[in-house]
Amino acid sequence: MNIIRPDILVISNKLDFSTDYVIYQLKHLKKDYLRINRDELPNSKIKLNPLSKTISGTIKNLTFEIRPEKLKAIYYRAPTFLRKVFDNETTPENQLIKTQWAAFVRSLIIFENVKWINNPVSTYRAENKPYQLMKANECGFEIPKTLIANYCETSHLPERNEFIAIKSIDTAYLNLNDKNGFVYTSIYKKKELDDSALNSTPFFVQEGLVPKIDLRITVVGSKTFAVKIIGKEQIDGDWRLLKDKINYVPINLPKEVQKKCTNLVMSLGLEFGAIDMIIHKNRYFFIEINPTGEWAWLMSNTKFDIDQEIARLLTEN
Amino acid sequence: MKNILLRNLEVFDRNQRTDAPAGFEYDNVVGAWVSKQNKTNFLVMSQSPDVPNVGTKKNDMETGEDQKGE
Repeated sequence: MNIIRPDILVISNKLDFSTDYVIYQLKHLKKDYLRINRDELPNSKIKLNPLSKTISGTIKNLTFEIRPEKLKAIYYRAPTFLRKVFDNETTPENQLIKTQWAAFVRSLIIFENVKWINNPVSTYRAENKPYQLMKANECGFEIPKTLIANYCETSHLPERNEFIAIKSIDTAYLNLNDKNGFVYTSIYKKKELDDSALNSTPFFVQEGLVPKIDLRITVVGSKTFAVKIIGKEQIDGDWRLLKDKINYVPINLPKEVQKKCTNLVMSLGLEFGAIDMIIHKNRYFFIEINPTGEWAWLMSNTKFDIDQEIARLLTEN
Repeated sequence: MKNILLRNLEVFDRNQRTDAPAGFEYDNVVGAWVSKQNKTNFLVMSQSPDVPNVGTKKNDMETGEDQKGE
């Protein structure tokens, strides 16, 4: 029986095709890796010893043994907590399957001394948007004037500022029965907003930077991959709404901006981050960082070898 | 009054699951989708026009991004 004892553990999902790019690179580098898909765990036979820090098991024809003296890195492509609210149709059995296997996967944090891309504890903290704004500020980024409030408080905004960006303070992905909803950033003119009305939830009230050029900077270790996002017309709102109507153009970031990006990722305890920035009136503003940002879509639009860089980072000592 | 965050809510159809195209299968040991005829031929590296579209940002469901979300 062939037992895999990996140096590199990859936690993913069977249909997460982005992971396949990294696996291809690891295979090409002839590394001892193991990929465990979360959706296949309910069909596995597996045990974890939290004191000896060993995991062994079988998933279909795959038998493996994870040992602390061998394991060097973990590529963790899994959520840190479940944002989706259970619907009434989820059976108690399925609720348990969802929650308990998620907890099992999070238990990998017993491996404290390996290289993580990214450690879920760090991801959990870094996903907090006010926290990341604070850290970005400490790293020297310019930040749009921002408050969180449950009403349209605008006193913190410059008098001359005509536009306001309204955003959720955490991902707002909604169940609408047979459809889904997502809250993107909205740009309003100041006069459109009633600053006396109380909202049922808090939200970001942020300086609206219009006109702007959107940037996406993908940080892998000490390397940055930057694109500007260009539409047929000027993009004033959230560029993600334009989906296939935009182009991604590789750019060279000023060295000081590159440094701030890599420093921020490091200060957040991460090895990877997808940073959104804006150029407004020739100034670079930090908008947010996504520790679990997707990147495979970028490779097909540019010649970035992000997969190679992730594999390299997983394998370096 | 309607929550301000719902004023411009983007509504879309529930995500259709993406499946690998015919001729490819997931290999547990390799840890990737490979050609049924040649396990060294990775789906994502193939020239097949049916390669799953990872080339768009899709609806950018930042619950940990798409399939990682749950």
